[in-house]
Amino acid sequence: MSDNVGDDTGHAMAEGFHPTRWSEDQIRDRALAQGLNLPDACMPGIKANLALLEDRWATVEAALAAIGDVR
Amino acid sequence: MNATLATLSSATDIARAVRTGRVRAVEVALAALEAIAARDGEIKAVNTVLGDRALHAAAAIDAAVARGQDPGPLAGVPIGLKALFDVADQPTTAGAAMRIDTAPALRDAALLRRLTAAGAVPIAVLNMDEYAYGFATVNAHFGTTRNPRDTARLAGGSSGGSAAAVAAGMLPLTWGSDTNGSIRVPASLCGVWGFRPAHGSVPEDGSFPFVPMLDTLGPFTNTLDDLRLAAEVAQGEPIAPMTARRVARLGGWFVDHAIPDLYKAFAGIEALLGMLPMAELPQVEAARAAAFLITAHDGGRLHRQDLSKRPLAFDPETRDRLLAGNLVPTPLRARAALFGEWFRKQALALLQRYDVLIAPATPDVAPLIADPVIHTGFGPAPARANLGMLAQPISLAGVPVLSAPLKRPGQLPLGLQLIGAPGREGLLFDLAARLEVAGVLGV
Repeated sequence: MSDNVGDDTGHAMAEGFHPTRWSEDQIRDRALAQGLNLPDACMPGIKANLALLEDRWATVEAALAAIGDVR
Repeated sequence: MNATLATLSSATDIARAVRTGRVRAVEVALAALEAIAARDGEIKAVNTVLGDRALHAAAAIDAAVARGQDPGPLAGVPIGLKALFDVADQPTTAGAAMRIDTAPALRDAALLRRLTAAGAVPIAVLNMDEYAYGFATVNAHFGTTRNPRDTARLAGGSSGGSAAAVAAGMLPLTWGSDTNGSIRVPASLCGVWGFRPAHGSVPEDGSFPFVPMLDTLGPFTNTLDDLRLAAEVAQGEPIAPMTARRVARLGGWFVDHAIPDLYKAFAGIEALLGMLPMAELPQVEAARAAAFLITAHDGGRLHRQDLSKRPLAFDPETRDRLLAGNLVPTPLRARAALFGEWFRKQALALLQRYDVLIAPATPDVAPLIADPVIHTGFGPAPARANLGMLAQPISLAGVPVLSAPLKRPGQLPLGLQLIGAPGREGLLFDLAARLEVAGVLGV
């Protein structure tokens, strides 16, 4: 996997979460890395939800930038 | 409504009558069971009726009264519980078909034990969105809960069964959970009172979790007195009397995304309190987004094992959201939580300046089941994704919220959020009481 790996290690970079750029194969690979085998029937719903999550992350990221990083 | 429940329409009245021996708890339990049998075929708020347990518990209360003992402040009050509470000898389904055959709970949830110790009588397990992930109570297995005020419309969710059972007059007191608005949304759409306690102030042991960082458990009632009584029993201590003097209306996001009917509500409030200052919570849209991300991440991981083994056993709407949530990187969730800490500090700072902040609970009235669209101030929007848009940001702050029904005779219900600081819940109840007396709030 290339950018923004969706893992649980904490080592992945948080910035730049762009799942709408992922191909279906990439989505499946990332899910498999979590132990999830995606049924075909789920793919449209997952893509729609990933698009929402991408939008929500962009909003949070912009807010963090606006308030001056709170880390 | 059964005659007994009609004459004893509130939990407070029932408890008073039972404690003094004027009415038997068994009679009240039978009336509630009768009301469910008469009404729930249409509403579909109830997943399981606890008939035998209810009658045994009620008989025990009557026996205690006969011995001269006081069964407690909820003596003989029939209650319902969202399907995520452990109820002894029942499977805790959390609204999921895949959990129907799960082992029965060995004992009641901690909150339920507190309620029964106060004399409450569990009558029914109530419908919800699968695993509490939704604002609609559209459940592929248990059915769609209909809004008692207009059965062509959604009850809201995820505690839709709990709100609808109270609104339909089946039960005077029910319990739900609120992670992102799951008490406030159905309370608003069904026109009943609801309370989201401060995060961590009510015991959650034995309730099926969703997002522990945001989860709370709280009541629905038809009267403000009942709401206060229920909140006090749940929190294990009285709510101190206080007087709310500094009241503000939340502006920005909360004004922009509400229908004009809600503006009218503030005219009634201002007739009582004078012109309200408009207070601004910063970065509200981001607070909603952060709560959304944290929910997807944590909910997804909570159910990962089942998603890997039997994804098709989930309600499709829930499944796809949970699967997508598993692809949210944990570092993003950590950043969203960091933002959440900042937002909570902003909310608490604002609540130093004001005793109570007022905002709409939902942008619009209950949408039609057949056409689930709401208006948000920017035109039509899908109901399921947007019903919680005014409640979800406040969840991130973790503060107590009283969900209050606007008095709207002949119109579909709408509710307000009265938002306060933890430990100062008395301010919310004081303001609600004065607005109720003034005819602005009430069922």
